[in-house]
Formats: sequence, C-alpha cells, structure tokens
Amino acid sequence: MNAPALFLVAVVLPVFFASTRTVSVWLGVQALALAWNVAAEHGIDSVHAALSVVEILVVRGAIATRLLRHVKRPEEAVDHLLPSNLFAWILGISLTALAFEFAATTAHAQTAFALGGVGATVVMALLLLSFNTAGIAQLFALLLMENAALLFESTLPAPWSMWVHGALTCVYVLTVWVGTRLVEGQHQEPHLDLPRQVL
Amino acid sequence: MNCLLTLALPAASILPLRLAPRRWAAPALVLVALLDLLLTLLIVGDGSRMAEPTYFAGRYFVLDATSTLFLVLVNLVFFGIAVYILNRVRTDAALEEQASTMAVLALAFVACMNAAVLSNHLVLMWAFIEGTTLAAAPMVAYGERGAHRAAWRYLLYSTVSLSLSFLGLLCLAQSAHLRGVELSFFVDELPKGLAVHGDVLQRLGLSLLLFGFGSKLGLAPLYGWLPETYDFAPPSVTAMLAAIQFNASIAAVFRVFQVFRTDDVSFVAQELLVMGALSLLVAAVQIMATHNYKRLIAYACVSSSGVIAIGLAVGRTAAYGVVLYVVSNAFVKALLFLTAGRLKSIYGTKDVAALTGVIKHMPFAGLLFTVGTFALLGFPPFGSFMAEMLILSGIVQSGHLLVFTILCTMLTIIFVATGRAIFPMLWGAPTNEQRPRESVLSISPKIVFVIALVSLGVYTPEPAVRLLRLVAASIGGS
Repeated sequence: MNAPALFLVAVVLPVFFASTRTVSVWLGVQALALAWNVAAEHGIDSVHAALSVVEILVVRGAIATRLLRHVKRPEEAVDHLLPSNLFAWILGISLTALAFEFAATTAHAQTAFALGGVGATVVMALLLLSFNTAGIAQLFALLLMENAALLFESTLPAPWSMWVHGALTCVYVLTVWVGTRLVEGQHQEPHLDLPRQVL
Repeated sequence: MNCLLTLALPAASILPLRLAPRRWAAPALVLVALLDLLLTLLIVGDGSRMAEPTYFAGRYFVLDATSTLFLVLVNLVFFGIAVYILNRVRTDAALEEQASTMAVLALAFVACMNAAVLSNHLVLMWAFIEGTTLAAAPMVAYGERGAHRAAWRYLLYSTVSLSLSFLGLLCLAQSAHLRGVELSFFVDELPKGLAVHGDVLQRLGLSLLLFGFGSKLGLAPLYGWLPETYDFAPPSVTAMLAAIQFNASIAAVFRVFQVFRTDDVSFVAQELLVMGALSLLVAAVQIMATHNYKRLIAYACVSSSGVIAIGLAVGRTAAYGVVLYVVSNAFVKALLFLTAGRLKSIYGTKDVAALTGVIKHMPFAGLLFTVGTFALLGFPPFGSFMAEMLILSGIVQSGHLLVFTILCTMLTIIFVATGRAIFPMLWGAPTNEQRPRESVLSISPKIVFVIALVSLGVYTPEPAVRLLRLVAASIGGS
C-alpha cells in the first residue's frame, strides 16, 4: 500500500462506515498518509520537505484532531456520516469510480492514482454535505476538501513555497477552530440569553 | 514606502488590543483604521506610478492599479465602519464587551483583506480570502438569535465555494503539467503557462475558478448564504461583508480576467451571463416577497452581483462601467447597512410594515436611508447611475440585445418592488413623536459615503478617473 492509497482508505471508509464520533481519528490517519506522501515524493533531506512533514503531523495530525475531539454535542447525536441507504451508497461508489476514470484520462500514469484520490475526496466531501446536516459531519467534509488540496500538491513537479504552505496550514487550523466553535454554538444558542442590542 | 505596512499595522495591533481594557477597544479600532487609511493614501500618492506594478516580498505581493483601487476602497470603508462601532459603543455601554472581541476580529479581517487585494499569487490570495471568511464568521455569530446557524452556513458556503475555486487552480496546474509546463500561480507569470486555446482541463479550471469566486459574490445558484448572513449578522459586520469582503472576491475575479486574455474569456462569458441573469431573476422574485428591510438590501446585493457578472461577461465596452459600479456599490452597501443598523437599534424591528415616517422621526437616518436607496436603485446623480448606464450601453454596443432586455426588465421589477416596500416606511406619519439623538459621529462616515457616491456620478477627480481607467483596461476594457 502506498501513501495516496492509505489516504483514500481514510477518506472512503469513514464516509461509508464510520460515525460522527470518530472523525478526528480518521483525520489523524489522513494526516499520517499525507505526511508519508510528502516524505515519499520529496524525501526529508531538504528543510522544506522536513518542515512540511512536521507541519502536517503537528497541525493536521495533532492540533486539529485534538480540537475536533473536544467538540461538545448533544448526547443523541451519534449517527453515521453517510446515511445507510442504497441511493447514497450507489451515488458515492459511482462518483468515486468516475473521479478515477476522469483522472486516468487527464493525467500521466504516475500521477493518475493520486489525482483520482483528490477527485474522489472532493466528491465524497460534496456527498457528505448533501446528505448530512449535522455540523460535525459538515465540518469533516470541509476538512476533506482541504486535505485533498494538499494531496494534489504531491502530483505537481515542485512543491509550493513555505509561504503558501504556511497560509494553507493557517487556513486549515482556523477552519477547525472556528468551525468547532460554531458547531458548538449552534447547540448552545437556544439556551443562551443573548443581548438585545448588537454592534 | 512598503505597501505591506497596510496589513502589518492591523495585524500588529491585534495582540495589544486583545490585552487592552475593554473600553479602549472601539477608540483603538478607529485609531488603527485611520492610521491604516492614511498609510494607504501615503503609499498610493497621486496614483501616477500605478501604471507600472511594484512587487514586494519576493513578488508575492504587488502594488498595481487593481490593488491600489481596492486598497483605498477597503480602508476608506473600514474606517467608516470603525467610526460606526465607536458611536454604537458610546451610546450603549453594554456593547463594550462585544466591541472588545469584535475589534480584534475586525483587525484580523482587514489585515487579511489588505493581504488578499495586494496578493500577486493566486493560491495565496485564495488563502487570504478564506482568512477573511474565518475572521468574519465569529463576528456574524455575534448577531441576533439564529446568528450562530447563519454564521455556520456562511462558513460552509464560503469554504465550499472557495474550495471549488481551489479545484479550478488545481485543474489549471494539471493542464499545464500535461503540456510539460510548470505553473507558478504568480499572477504576472501565469499567462505564460497557459495555452491560448485551452484544453478541457484549463477550461474546467477557469470555469471552477469563476464559479467559486462568483459564489463568494453571492451569484446564483450558490447565493443562499448571502441574505441569511446579511440579515442575522450585526449591522457593522454586514457592512464589512457587503462593502469590504465583496471587493476581495471582485479583486480575485479581476485577477482571473487579467490572467486569461485568451479565447477562454469568451468561453466563460457564457457562464457569467447565465449566473448574472439567474441572480437578477432570483433577486427580483425575493425582493417582491420580503418584508424585512435588511434582507431586502441583501437581495439587492445579489442583483448588484448579477449586474457586475453581466458587465464582466460583455467585457470591453462595459469594463469601465463595471469598475465604477463596484466602487459605487461599496459605498452604497456600507451606507445602507449601517443606517439599517441604526434603524434596528431605535425601532427594534426589521419589518417594513412596522415602520412609518422614519424621515420625520429620524431626519438624518431617514434621509441617508432614502439617499442610499436611490443610489442602490441607480438614480442620478450617483455613481451607480453612471455605471449602470455605461454597462447598459456596453451591452447594446456588443449586440447582446436579449441580455439588455433581461437586465432592464429585472432592474425595473427590482426598482418597483424596492420602492413599494421602502418608501412607505420612510414617509407617512411617525409612530413616535420623540426624536432620538443623532450624533455627528453617527452620521459623519455616512455623509462621507454620500459625498463619494455623488462625486463618482458628477465630478470624479482626474487621478481617480485615471485609476479606474487603468483597472478597466486591465480586465479588457477599451
């Protein structure tokens, strides 16, 4: 198994089989796969590649997953990411197959699998957004999209500069931070005594 | 002087403001906004150097006509909003706590905004626009009941639409990769890596880029977040989103147009025409149905985005009109949303039916709301009137008569529906005879917006005209 394959497994398996409680674990596995992918593609000899690996493991693997683990949600909100109905499953499987088909026709053989993985991740994210209205599931879908962008970078001949990496990392960690606060806020808002006047 | 100071100043002020006592938050915000505006004007000077771009920080940032225009616009409007926040805190001390947190987020927001409009790298620009969303979402949640849900939906829609843009960038990179070219994503270098007659991936990339950034402008079909967010967010935040963040997305669209000066622009013109016409249709129907004045202005913003999309699709002859329309709209939206906030704080309702005689009860606020509505509807002597005329004339000159008919019909419907809802609220007998106090601080930023609007329609100073022309030329204007 190679890194993009592990990433794909960490995207597809939770969407079809996991519950919303385990999203942080799966995001952690995705971060591991992404770090492995960077190390495999660019080695860890250069400062740039080494920093990228550390950044992925620390920010995406540790900080983001920790933030997600501590989201407060209603007790009854233990549900599957994708509803267990035949239509959703057929749609998900067909779209994944289509993503790989598209990648096979538009990319060189060596990057086709990774590009297919990017496409499959994006369609899984869109599928989740269409089928699940739970905040935590939707946040997981957004993070899938941002991870897909990082996987795509591995298909480029040269990695982006540290400036761009830094900006994308900030966006990722802030999406988790702001997203978790808003997801929690939605549950707490009906019980809050909000001020009458706003700025 | 280095233009990066305009983003460094608000960014560096975040920590001191966070640690400062709450009562200092609003005055400090005004001070930073004023300093940032003065710094911007100092850097820009008389605009004579704008024809040639100046690069900073390893070419990641650029000061050219486009970034100059949006930098001035963003910082001018932000200063007005900061003064509004200060006035609200002065009149209601209970808002000090809100203002303390909001000031920090507002500074992060404006730092990201300045970085986005100055960015010369499309991926970096994407990240900074996403940064403005992430700073704005918690501010939206400070609104009335239901604001948390609206903030979440805003974050969701924005991130999805920006992710689609990002996918567009990836498609462009893949298309270039297949041709053996390495794409750098620097705006000034990107055209060299693109094919004159793009393949499927390049066209898909361009479509996704414009669809994503277009959705951030509130263009149909992904417009649903806009009325809800603008309605539930605090008025100052709504003004920031409508008059400031909107311009970051417009700047991104302009950058895309500057990169694609090939056949591909005519390819996406159809996409923009459809999105623009659909947005006008949606806005016309919703304006007829709504009884909430804040939501009504929000739908008018959707229609404005539609006009801009159509103007961009037409291109050459309408380009100057589009740029003028964008600038005018920033002032109109800031004026209307800030005044709507004042009305909501006095009357406690957003229902148009519950309000009557506003212009007699609150002469300044009522008059400013009237002026804003006229400017929104494209009346003379405001810049929006001149801009709409230029766009309509451009459409006729380019031979898009069907588009011209659709645009005129929809604008007429919007005009009648808006007037029917707003004007009874402004005129008539006031329900309350006791006039609330309207301070100079409350009306002064709005007066500045009105002066700017009239100036854009009647007499625009030569440096401003030159700047507008340069930006119009950069997006293909004749």
